[in-house]
Amino acid sequence: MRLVVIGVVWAIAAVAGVAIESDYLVSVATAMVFLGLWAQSWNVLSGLTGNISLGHSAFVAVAAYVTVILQQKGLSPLIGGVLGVAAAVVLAAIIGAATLRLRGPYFTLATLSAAAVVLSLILHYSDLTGGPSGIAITFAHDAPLELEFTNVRAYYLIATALLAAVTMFISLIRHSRLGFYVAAIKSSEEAAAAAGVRVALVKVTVFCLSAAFTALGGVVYVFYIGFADPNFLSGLTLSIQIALTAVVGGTGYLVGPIVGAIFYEALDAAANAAFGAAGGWDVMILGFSVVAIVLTEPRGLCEMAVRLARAIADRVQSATA
Amino acid sequence: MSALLELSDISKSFGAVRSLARVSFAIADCGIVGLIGPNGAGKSTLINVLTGVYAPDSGSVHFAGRELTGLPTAQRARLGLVRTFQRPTPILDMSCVEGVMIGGLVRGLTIAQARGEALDTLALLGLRDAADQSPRKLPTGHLKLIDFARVLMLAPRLVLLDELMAGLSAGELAQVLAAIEELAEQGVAFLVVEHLMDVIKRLARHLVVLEAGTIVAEGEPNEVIRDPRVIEAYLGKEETDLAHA
Repeated sequence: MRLVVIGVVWAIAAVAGVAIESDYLVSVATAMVFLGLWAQSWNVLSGLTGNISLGHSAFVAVAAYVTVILQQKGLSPLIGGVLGVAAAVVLAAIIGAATLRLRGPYFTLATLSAAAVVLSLILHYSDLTGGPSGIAITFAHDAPLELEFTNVRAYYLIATALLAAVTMFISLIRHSRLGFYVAAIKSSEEAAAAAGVRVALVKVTVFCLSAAFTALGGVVYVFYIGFADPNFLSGLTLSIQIALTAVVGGTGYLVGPIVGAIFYEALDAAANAAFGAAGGWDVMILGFSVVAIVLTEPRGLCEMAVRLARAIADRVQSATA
Repeated sequence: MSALLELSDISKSFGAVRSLARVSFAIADCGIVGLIGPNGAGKSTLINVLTGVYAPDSGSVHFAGRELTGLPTAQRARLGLVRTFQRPTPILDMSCVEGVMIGGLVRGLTIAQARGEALDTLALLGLRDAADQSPRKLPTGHLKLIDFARVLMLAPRLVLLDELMAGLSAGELAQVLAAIEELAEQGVAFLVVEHLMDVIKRLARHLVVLEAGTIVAEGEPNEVIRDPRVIEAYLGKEETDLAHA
């Protein structure tokens, strides 16, 4: 049933995206979908296990750069993208194995450091990556097998399909054997191990899945933007944005990261429209809003909505009694 | 009866503190062995060594004829050597029955099979009504029994009970004692670490007394608790009446 609902919502979102005439509105919607996809992918690791990652931009960057570099050498992005995702998964396996014993802030700092190392490597090996200048992707014609589309709605459709697929996958994971093991690990690693759960294997597996989904978004995003920008793709800002989006929406809900992405990008667009980006008002308004939400309801907007709905239902019930 | 578990000269120190010193004993198949000792005697350390949480400084542990050195906790649990904890370790984001199912899933059961078996296991411990509740709302005694149910789902050969009975109500205690006796009859062995002497006297066929990391006495429970060294070390001189109860 959940999968059907996700499919229907995706179909509506896809049709709406194609029907909207304004390119600006489509670009805002596309930004929402990419951010939602990354936040949803982040939630596979951090929401399910409770370990907060601030290094997920590394997986976006590795997958994007591998794909673009291989494309420059003549390899189709469809094959390059698979290799890019594989590279991100290998990186996740290494980070996951190295941070097995770390929890809480120590785990977070380790992921943060890993992303910083990736950024440094990208900047250092400039012959391959273009260094601080990045790599521009130029194309004038539609070439679907090269992930090249002149109409941005194509990227919107691909991104929404990916988001729907990842959301379905997470829904299945939560009710699978792996979901049970992850829930046990989140409560107590010692108890999980005592019940026979291979804690290290499960943690690394979840880290790799999370990285793979994040990386998929990176592959499509870099062709949508048409530019491999090191400071955005592997920067701390993107990592924080991904984590904040999921937290603001609600990590305990399947739709939490998507709600967070809609809120984040809509507020950003509204603040930009009202005050312009130049003065930094958009960032300030976003920051204050995020702090206000986290202080009011640490479990995010979805929990806030559920509590509000319950309060209204109680009031209606008492009024009709 | 053959020995299911054999400990040989197990020693473990933490810095200058010697927690276990050349501890050796065996648990037979289907046997219930009691392990008592004052706080700090090394009982929990011993359980942690047996389950692979701590590596011993020296000595060896054989379980079902297999050397366990180097095996992680999960692997030992899958072999049938399981434990409970002094403090409850509920799976907070799941209902009680889902938390219990994990042991069955590890064993390879399907989710439907694991749920059915988990409900039976909860019923054995008198907790069928709590199956669909969140563990966040349950008292400590219930939570300890749910932990017990989870490891029973692994179809264990030996269960290490680390003060499972402490904090249980009279009703819960009666239920769990009956369950342990029933499981023992079915071939499950137990190492019962407990301060409740009535429980030890009812369950244990063999009693080991640990003090300051060494075994000071072992044998038939009623004889062991009358041993003057045990009375002095564990029960205290003024409590000799307990030993004669």
